[in-house]
Amino acid sequence: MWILRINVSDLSYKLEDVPEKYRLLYGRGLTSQIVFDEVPPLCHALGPNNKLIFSTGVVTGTIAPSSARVSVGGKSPLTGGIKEANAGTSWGPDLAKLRIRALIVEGEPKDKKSYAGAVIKWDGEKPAVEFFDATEYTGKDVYEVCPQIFDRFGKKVSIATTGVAGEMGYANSGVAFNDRYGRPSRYAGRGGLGAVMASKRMKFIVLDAKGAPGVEIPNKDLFEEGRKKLVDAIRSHPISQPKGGLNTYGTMVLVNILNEAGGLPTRNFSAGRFEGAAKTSGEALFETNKERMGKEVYNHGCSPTCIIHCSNTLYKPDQTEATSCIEYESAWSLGANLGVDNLDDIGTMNQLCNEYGLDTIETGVTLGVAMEAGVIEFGDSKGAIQLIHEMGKGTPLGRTLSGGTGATGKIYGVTRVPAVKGQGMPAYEPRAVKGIGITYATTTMGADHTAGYTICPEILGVSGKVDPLSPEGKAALSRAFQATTAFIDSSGHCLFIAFPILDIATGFEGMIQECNAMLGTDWDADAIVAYGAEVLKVERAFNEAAGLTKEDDRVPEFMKIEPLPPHNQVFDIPDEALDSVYGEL
Amino acid sequence: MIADTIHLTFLLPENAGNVSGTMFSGVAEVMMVVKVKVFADLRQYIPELGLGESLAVQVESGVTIRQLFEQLEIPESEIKLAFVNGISREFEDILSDGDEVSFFSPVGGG
Repeated sequence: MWILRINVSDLSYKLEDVPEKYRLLYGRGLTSQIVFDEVPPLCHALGPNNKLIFSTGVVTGTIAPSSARVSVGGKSPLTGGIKEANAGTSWGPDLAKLRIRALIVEGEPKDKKSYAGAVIKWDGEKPAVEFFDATEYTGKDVYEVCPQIFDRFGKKVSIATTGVAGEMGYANSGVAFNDRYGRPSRYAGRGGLGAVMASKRMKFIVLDAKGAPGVEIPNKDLFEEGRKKLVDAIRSHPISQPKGGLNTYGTMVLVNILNEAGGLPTRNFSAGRFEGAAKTSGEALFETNKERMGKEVYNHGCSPTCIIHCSNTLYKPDQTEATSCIEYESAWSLGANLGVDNLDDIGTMNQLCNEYGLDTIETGVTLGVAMEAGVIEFGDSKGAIQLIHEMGKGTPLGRTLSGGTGATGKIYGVTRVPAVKGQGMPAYEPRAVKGIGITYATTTMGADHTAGYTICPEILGVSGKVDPLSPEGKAALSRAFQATTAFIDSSGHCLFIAFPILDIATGFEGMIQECNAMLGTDWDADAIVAYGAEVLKVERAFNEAAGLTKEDDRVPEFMKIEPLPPHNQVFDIPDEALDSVYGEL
Repeated sequence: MIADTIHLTFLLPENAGNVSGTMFSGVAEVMMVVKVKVFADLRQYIPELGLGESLAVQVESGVTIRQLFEQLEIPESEIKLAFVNGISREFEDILSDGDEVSFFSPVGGG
């Protein structure tokens, strides 16, 4: 196994042995460690000293269930701190099969006008890289150029790319990967890593794993035992099982429950309930498809090995595909957050974001601030579509809206700016769900929900049940979720295995056994939480050196002052409690 | 049965004003109305309801959440969460007049 470095200064590459200190680091654990070790914390995120790092998890490339994840890391142009974003895609297992433990894109392109693409293949003994001129593919829709790459390099390759949003240096641009059907729709979306990729003038990284040796499993019996337990847990839990909550309704099933709970941020976080929510829900999409297609449409998997299959497709009245997939976050950011209840317009906006290379969360939250500022009215979905076009075309207004939520708030003099460390808040209101507010404030990633998904016990009744409106015990809860998640982000598993494994102990054991089988370790539950905590400490140290202080671990002032209907609470977690999350890590 | 209830307030002066009851049972039942919504897989149990619409259900005073979903013939094994006026409650909790109740099957996401 190797670390593969691509130097864009001269389009060269080298393979290095994996240092002993990285032996147990994978996925987010490895990308964050390499960022800490090699990226000067005060560098310009789009400058020559930032690096873009890809790494897959411990079990990626095996037949472990729902394990085709890749982590992408670097310094974020949006938050100014460390970033890890991950995606489900065949690109992950392909990298692992090529025996590449981390791919590091570094250096400074001499010629800022041209873009390169890299194709990584197995040469019989090791990975080999060929470069091609990708300039002709720039300035275009990602859905237009990716089929051309499949035509050029083969239908079975995997593709990582950045869209025009990245090319224009947008802080809200993501890195896009292919799904199982060739759509470039799986985004490592948050934090502007698309712009980092473009700053290296790297337009595509294509993986051709044909003939690659694959991943070795040192302890096959233990692996199989763990894998079976995890599969059983996934297949028996009502959220993750076939025809279960996620397979039937996708993540959009959360719209109604957050709305009922009074925690669905509406019209730029001015209320926790939206009267049009039901029309933008997973149930609405299921029924719309049923009407249009004449049958019940169940969801599909984004990547190989997935057995949860939560990805939806929205069909148009003429039965052609409108977009795939619409996550809860996107249905919310482009829906309730904008006062929009038109599912088709949400689908259009989702597709445009995918085509231009934009993070749907950051785009939607920014548009909410723009509506607050009066650029267009709340509810004006056609106006929102036009603004996304302006972002994609790089008009002055479009560029103004593409520096991220915090930046847009500043430009327009708005106080209701739902962001932490400049990054827009996802689809859960901190004043109605206080634990997630603590995660937003304190995670190293900026306002991020997956980083410490306390929604499980606070709303969903998974891993116990706690009162979302109570501040009691929430700092510890967020800390525990953040550390466990940092491990799952390193394991290679999709975070959605958390639903079954937090309720079914044998599933949790199975995940740990798989990892022990791969690494020769003897971990238990405490050990994996400790692993996650170490990853967080590394990220935190980077952030501190990058100039982030505890004052950046706060929710915006308006949330401490304005009670949020319907429960009419403010965010009343004291600063000391926020500081204790990492203070007592 | 509700339909058989006879209003007898003029014959029951000590209970006048807020009681309707059957003449012969001797037991006064206060009726309340709660509004019910069902989501995800539970929608099949009230199929006539449109998305996001609620059903007004007449129930006895002091009814618990469990008694409500039993009355509606929604199997307990399929209900994961019950929200009452936006707060997640236990199935033993007692409902009040005018409460808005939402039932969910197990759901998750990101």
